[in-house]
Amino acid sequence: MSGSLLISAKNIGVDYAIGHNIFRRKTHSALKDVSFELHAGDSLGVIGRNGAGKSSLLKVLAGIIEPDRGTLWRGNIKTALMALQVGFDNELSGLDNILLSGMLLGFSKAEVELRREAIISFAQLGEFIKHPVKTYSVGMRARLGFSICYELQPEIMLIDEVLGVGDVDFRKKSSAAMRQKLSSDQTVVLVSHNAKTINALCNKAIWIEDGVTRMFGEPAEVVAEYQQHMLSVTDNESR
Amino acid sequence: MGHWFDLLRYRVAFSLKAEASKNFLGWALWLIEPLLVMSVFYLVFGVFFQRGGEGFAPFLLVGIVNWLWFSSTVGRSAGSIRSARGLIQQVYVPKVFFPLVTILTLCVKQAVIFGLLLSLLLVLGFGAKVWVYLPLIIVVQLLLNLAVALLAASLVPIVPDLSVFIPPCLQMLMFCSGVFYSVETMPEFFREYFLFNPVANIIHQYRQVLLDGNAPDFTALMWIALGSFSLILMVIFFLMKFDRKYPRYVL
Repeated sequence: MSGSLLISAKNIGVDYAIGHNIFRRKTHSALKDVSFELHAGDSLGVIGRNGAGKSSLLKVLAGIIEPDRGTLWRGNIKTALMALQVGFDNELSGLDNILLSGMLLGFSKAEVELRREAIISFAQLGEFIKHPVKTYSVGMRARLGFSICYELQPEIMLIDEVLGVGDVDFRKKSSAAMRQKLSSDQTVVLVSHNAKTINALCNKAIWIEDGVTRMFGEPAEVVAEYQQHMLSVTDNESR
Repeated sequence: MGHWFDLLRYRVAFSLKAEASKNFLGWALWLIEPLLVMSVFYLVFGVFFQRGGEGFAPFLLVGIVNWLWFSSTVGRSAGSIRSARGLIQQVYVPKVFFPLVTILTLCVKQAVIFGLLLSLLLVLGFGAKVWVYLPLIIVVQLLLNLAVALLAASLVPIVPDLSVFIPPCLQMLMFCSGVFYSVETMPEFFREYFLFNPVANIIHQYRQVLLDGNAPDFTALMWIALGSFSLILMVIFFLMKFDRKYPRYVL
């Protein structure tokens, strides 16, 4: 069952300037005409080829950019892109970076502090949490980045392809945690080009092709339609 | 709004902390920098050219300390939004946040440096009887710093070429601002226009109060404050209007 309406997008379009200088001024429409609705508790999967406009759509939903056309209605809710390691400062300790990153994601100091212990224990950094991030390995940074985003819960979580990060063990743990979150009543928008993931984890799906909504509905139907389309495209190209 | 002010406070505190821990000399480096720059000018103009005369060192120091505040604020703020390009693609942050972090961080450093300058002047025997006017000059300079730094920061992402022009412009401005010479040594013809340069004017006012024991020129300060304030309002309006356009420019 779907909860209350959180986001309603009608015919939204987004243009980017390419190579802007005084001699050349061209625009490219990343999104042309996209419409959908998101209700509380939904897990919406966004599927489409590279360059179809999936990431631009997430940026619009996160409030990073505004659509040039169409209307986007948003309830008064906290929406955050799962931006790993956002605003990390190498000179500062893991603890300081938790506060900084958490506040950049839109949470107050009190909210971050409330979740701090959970973040530290999920990241499994031990004593290292007090050391500057520049002393961390790549895997440790990834673990801290993931834990911050995972433990601080916005009303709508926007995920661009990342499910698991880090070494083999942490990848298993993080992607299991994410899968669990996706099937819980957390509202999620998940961008993926992996049709299987969307089929397995989402209760709604939208297929975007060349900036236009091709289909919006049940994941199984959307994914089947998308895969058939991809087959015919590759067929045409190989001929 | 409140959230961003909180974040600004922490970001500034963390920047100071990071900078102090990054360098071997830590906070001491802030004090050494103006002294080093002063030694260079003293060597060239005071020793090689014999142009300094009596009291050249404090004269230079007052000019350099306040010039460096202006030039580092403008120079470092200019690229602040542009270098946050990764961040502004991932989360929404009001773009004015980035230059403000730089400007406020440098304000804290300047407070320490200025404290040292004043104690040095007291030791050298300069009287403090008109120093009550100092806060006024400092506030006016802060407004000027803010205006120019915000303007530079807001334009560099849109016209990246500007970052090439800013350092030579700052250098030109330094030579035109009487950092190492006084108005009186200029030919009559230039003297009239010299003080139209707000940076030169402010440095002149500092010297009036700190070294000569005179009250500053209030009319000049008022005009600089008014001009800076209007520019600040215009730039902030511009930044707010295009706040969510910047992520598309700064790719």
